[in-house]
Amino acid sequence: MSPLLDVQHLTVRFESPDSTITAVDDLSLSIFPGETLGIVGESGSGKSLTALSILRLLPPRARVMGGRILFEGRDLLGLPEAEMRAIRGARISLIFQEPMTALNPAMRVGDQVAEALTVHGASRAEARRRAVQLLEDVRIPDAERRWSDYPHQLSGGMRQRVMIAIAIACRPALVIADEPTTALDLTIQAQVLDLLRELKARFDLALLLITHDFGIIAEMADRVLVMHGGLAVEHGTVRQVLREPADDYTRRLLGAVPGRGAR
Amino acid sequence: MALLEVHHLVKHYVRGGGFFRPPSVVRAVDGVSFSIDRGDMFGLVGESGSGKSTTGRCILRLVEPTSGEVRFRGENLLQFSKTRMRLARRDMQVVFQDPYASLNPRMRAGDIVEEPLIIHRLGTGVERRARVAELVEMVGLEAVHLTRYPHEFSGGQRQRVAIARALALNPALIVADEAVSALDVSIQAQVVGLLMDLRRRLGLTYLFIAHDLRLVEHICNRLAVMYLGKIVEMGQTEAIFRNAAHPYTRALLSAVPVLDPDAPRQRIEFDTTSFHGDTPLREVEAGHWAAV
Repeated sequence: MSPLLDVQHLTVRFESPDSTITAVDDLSLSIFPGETLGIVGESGSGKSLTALSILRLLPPRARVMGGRILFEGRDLLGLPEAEMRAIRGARISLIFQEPMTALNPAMRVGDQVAEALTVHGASRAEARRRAVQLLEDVRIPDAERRWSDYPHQLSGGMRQRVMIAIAIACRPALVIADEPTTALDLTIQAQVLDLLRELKARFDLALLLITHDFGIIAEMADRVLVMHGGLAVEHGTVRQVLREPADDYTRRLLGAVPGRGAR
Repeated sequence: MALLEVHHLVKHYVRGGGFFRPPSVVRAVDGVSFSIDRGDMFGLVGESGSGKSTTGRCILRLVEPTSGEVRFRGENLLQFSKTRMRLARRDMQVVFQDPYASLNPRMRAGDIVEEPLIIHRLGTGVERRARVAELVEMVGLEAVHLTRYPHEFSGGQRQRVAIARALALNPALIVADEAVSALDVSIQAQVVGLLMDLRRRLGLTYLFIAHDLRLVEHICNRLAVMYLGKIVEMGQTEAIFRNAAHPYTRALLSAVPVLDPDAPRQRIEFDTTSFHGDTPLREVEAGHWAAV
């Protein structure tokens, strides 16, 4: 089986007149269909920029300086923007940490889910019908009624479910989730992680899960990549990395996780 | 003797209300009682909306409680005049989650640490500067940091500045309100290490307000779990983790991600509709109380 996503030697730099920072340094990773790859790292590790590079959504001053990002056999870095738009949201979608900023505050949540479908070609009636189904798929109770709520009327957990509904609307092959539960309470986090796991199995999604929390990696991922200062310092199956971390930084990071697991 | 005793603390917010509409009451803190012994690291945990932060703020009278008693060294703080309260605050300091928001961005670190000494008119200029140097060293910063502004520090360093400032007046009690929640785990571990070390060196007592159970298990000797303005369980940390009695505590514990990929996952759901908040705490084993 060939990988769904194959990132080879990706290098991303921030450039300004007086400095250059290598934010992602010669990073390679691959994800197979239906697999969950976790990227774990602290702030500044380059984990989020890696995700944004894949979608070609880097901030203005950051530039891909080298490498290839092969998705379903095509190099995303070489695609015209129009073709990239057809992939974004349809074949690869993104879930952010903070749904309150990612959702449009002035638009009913149902319309936002439907919009994800119409921009990729669904008719309005079809989009409306499927959007209700999607809100039910992400276990939003009373989906018909919730349809006309605005984001601020929903709890953080419910907002994140709406984000997930948008992300899976077009049946993507790959979902990138960047700290999807970091802003949520622990019990809500557990529910959202359970939901992601369920949807992944049901729709055969591959998941690129970016987090600072090794506990979430242990619960969710098949393989894990540890990033530090733009470099992949360790890469392996979750079991292998947690049981026998080979890299010093990985060991320190694991040692710093408070409580239970660390004992 | 307990350093801090909280009896039946209540903070209600009254909202709205109109001509034909009765005002609604938000019971942010709804009859909370606990006590903290000298040298305790007392954890107050809960999710958003549980009332844990409001409880901390009421204790310091940063918000005025609706009713109840807060006894510090036996005296009820809620009866203190403003002036007397200002003096009492020397003994009880707070460290917030986001030092970026709580530190004055236009002041240098040295001045930030010195300011409480000036406000309370303690020492001469020379003495104050010596004290600042001592504090900065105590929290693991260096003299060169004194002239820097908050934005020039990393998150962990900024929190160290906030801790140095909190220690300036030699307090007995530190209320740490999500003090390490915003930090990266490796930095978090260092700052927690510093708090533990200061507790030992200075005999500090902490009220540690947090949402992260893993952290609390690690550092607090006693804890209380809050839900919707009430304490639902309280006791030795070890007893609560070993033998949680309240369904909400059990659900919360089961939601903690575990580092072992082979650990059995048994998610316990808490039925929120089952919670009415009128069950009193009872002692389920020695020193371990739960509202069951």
